[in-house]
Amino acid sequence: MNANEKHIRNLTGDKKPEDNFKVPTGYFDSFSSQVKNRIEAQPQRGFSWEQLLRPVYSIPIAAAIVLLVGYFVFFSQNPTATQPQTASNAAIDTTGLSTASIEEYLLQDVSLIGIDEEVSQDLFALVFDSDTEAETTSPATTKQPNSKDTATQPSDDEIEEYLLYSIDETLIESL
Amino acid sequence: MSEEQHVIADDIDLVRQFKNERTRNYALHLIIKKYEKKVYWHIRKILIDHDDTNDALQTTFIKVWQNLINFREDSKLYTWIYRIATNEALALLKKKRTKFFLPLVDVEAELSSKIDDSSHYTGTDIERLLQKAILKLPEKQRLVFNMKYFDDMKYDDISEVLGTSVGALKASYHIAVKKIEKILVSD
Repeated sequence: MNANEKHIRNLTGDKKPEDNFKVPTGYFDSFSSQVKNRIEAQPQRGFSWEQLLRPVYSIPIAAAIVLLVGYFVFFSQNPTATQPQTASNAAIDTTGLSTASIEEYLLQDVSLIGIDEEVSQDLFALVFDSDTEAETTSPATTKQPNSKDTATQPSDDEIEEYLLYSIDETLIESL
Repeated sequence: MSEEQHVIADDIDLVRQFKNERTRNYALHLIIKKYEKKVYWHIRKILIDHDDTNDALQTTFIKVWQNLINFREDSKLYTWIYRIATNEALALLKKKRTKFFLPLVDVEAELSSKIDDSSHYTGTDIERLLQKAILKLPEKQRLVFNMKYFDDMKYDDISEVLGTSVGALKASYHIAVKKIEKILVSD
């Protein structure tokens, strides 16, 4: 007990609030039965079928049944109706697109993207040169996808030259 | 075995009896009988009014009934019940404030007026002054002060009840004691 606490006890005496607050006579004699009565008056927590009649359950259940019945009725009357497209079968078929058509499309729309035309041509050259070379070679000499053949890859000197040519000097100085 | 260890062993036994469906009602009755007075006075010191205390106390034991089945035996039963009781008492105070759109000061003033009312409180002037000084404390300091000063609860137990660190509780109690002393001396 510190000095401040001791001082308070000296000033106020050591009586507890229990000695001063009034409580109705016999309150604690009947308290346990009051709680028991309230517990018995509580609704049971277990499942009952009557709960399903409450709007919070009945409306979603009714909506689900209507949708399910509607689905089966529709597909039984229209057996040719297609199933909803899934993400896989709705995916864009890219197999029919040639490299040339993609290149042409990008060259037409490059102004919309906002890339400098000179830079973009270099980019296209880098990206598509390997493809066009691959297209012109015979199947017997076609490179494997993971081939490390340097003929289709830009050399270090080419990359360095490209970067020096394309990137703004101020940007290099600021690095 | 110390007295505290006896109490804990008793509580573990009570919880086990409660978890057995055949002895559940009897176990609840024993738990209420064991803790009703302690918990009543804990709530009464917060709410001052008997009727409010009765409401909060009944709700506390109903929640004990509903949740004791999930009680983990690594906690102390009495701090768990105190925590429920504290939350119920504070929730009731909050409800009063929102119901009557009263700011904090008005609720404390209402509680303070009940201490002046001799049908609620029979203490001497200095005891009234002490109760009113406690009401002027911020909520957490008030709770800590009541539990430490009047009930001499251990800081570890208060920490479990309020979910605050022991260090913070010691600081709160120290500040609360100084404030109360200052009010009593100045008045």
